[in-house]
Amino acid sequence: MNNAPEPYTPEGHAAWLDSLSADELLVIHMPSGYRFIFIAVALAKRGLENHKSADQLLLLKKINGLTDQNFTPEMLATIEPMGDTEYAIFKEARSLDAGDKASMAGFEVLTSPRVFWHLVTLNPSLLKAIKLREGASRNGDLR
Amino acid sequence: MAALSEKRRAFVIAMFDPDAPQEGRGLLKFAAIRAGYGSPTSSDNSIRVMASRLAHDPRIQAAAAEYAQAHIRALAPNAVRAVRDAIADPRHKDHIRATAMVLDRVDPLETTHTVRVEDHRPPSIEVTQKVLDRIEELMRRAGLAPKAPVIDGDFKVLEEAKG
Repeated sequence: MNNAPEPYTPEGHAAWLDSLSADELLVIHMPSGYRFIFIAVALAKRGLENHKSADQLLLLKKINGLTDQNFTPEMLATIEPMGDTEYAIFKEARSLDAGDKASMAGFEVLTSPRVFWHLVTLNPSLLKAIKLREGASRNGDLR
Repeated sequence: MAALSEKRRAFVIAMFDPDAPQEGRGLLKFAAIRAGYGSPTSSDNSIRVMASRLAHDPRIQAAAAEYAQAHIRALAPNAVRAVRDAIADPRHKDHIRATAMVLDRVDPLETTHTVRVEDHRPPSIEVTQKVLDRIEELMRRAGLAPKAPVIDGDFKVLEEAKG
């Protein structure tokens, strides 16, 4: 999936949306903040595999603290740990945040349609969780 | 100083005369009279007005600053002598202060400043593009080469060269 064409024109944007598959459209229509939460959960689960028990407990508390009515425990359970290539992509994006505590540049790269779709390709559990979200949204379960 | 007339120059020099009263106690009037301004019949008031005008002239002020600087430099040998005397006499009331002052200049106290420079500028477009290129390379290496981004552009079909 490519990013939206720039500069923005209504025609160009509409053509871009038309070129996307149904799954890609699901990703596009999810707010970037949620895209980042999905990435963060996959990262934390990777950390759970590689850290000592004290750190594991902290990570578990943190990822469980992310759940709410928009990001349900079921979605959390669906997301699988980040693999090595995903982690390498994550580190590349984070390298843009040197000295920036807000991490905005890294956030924008990771949640951009193209890079997020790479992460979805590498970790299909992200798309499964997104579909759970979409289903809950359709049923009116999300706020 | 050299740009002033002789009379004005004399006014400036008179302001630094050892016999001159302090400022606010007739210094300007003293300097004006010493420089030859006014006449024996001039009233006290007219001399004061004249002196005040002279003192507010920017050229006189610049010359006074130049003369003061030169005067202070000329006082340096006396200052050195006074410090040397204070150091030489252990009973001198400023003996310790003078000694410490010289030591501070010979072996200055070290002051360490820690300066932390934080750069909050967003990364440039070129740096961001390099990161995006490396991400694409990671995807290629993983055997998941995605479609290349579509690049918009105009093209022209060229005729095949003859002969």
